[in-house]
Amino acid sequence: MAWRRWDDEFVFHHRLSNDTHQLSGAAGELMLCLLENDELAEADLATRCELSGEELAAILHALAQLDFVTWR
Amino acid sequence: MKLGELTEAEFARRMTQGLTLVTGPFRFRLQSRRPGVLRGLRTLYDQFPVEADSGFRDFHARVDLAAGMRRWLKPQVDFWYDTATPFKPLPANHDFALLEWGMNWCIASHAHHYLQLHAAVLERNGQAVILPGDPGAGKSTLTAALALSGWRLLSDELTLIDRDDGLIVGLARPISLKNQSIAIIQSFDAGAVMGEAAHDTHKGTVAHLRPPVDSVARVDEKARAAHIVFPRWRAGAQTRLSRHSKADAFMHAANHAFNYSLLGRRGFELNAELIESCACWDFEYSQLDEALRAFEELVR
Repeated sequence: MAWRRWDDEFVFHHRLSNDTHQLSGAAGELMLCLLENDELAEADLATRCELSGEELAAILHALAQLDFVTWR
Repeated sequence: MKLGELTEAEFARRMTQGLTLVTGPFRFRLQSRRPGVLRGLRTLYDQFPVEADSGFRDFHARVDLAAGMRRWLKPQVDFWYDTATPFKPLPANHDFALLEWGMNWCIASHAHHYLQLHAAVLERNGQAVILPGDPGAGKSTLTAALALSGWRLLSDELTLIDRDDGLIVGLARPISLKNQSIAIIQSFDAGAVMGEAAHDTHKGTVAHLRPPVDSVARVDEKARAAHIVFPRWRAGAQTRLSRHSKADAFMHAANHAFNYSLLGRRGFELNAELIESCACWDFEYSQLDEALRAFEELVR
């Protein structure tokens, strides 16, 4: 993954799929957490990223749709 | 030698046998017997260097009458790239427009040693301003007015980013104007040199504006991008420049680039470096003179 952050927005490039996507600040922060440690439990992820369980699930679902993460 | 220095007879002879025209970093070997192509080149490319018909050429292109019965009924022309005709034939009086589109296609389809953005680019005071624009946004009109007002034209269609240094490489070819833009630019500058209009093309009426002499002479000077401006012409709009999100500008540039995906990770890095080095703006306008003043302020 390559990425850039400008203000509160991110762009991520997935090397394998060659896809690029624009992410919100919250989704970008979550991606950075996952890049650092992809074995974190959901509860730990939510705590680190200051997200509620619902918010975390919504973002993970969106990231899975982009094939950035595998989730459930 | 420049194209305009060739005699009519020599020019016609070389266009039959092969004329090497230099446009920025590219060498085109052109052939055509079409009167419209010859007149267009004489009018719009007179300041461009031509070379002897030998050595390496990037592209071999030809515009000539299409074969078949239509040749006698409703004549059409084909654009030839090497031995292929990548487009459907067009009416014969669209010959010069077809050459221009074909030349753009040659570069966009093959010059992948550049990141190619679908955008105009001009330079003033050492600052290059990139103008991406959706169709109808007023990009070409603004580009033409800026070029006629002393800005250095690098390109009206293809912004070429050098993969090695991230700088912008010039093309400075004729500016393609469509429909109302033609009359707007003619009234903006009565001295503007235009080629013949091609009517009823898939883009409507199209005419090309001769690039400024200085822009052609300085085409080898690379430029550093300073601003990306998304123009939008709207009737009655106040001239207004407002910040555009960088992430959104990144995605727009990537989605409208000709070869972003093809360049993979390098495309991402080049585009990111470009966005980081630029201020990004939305620009709405209705009056050309006010728009020009706003652009002067931008690069002061």
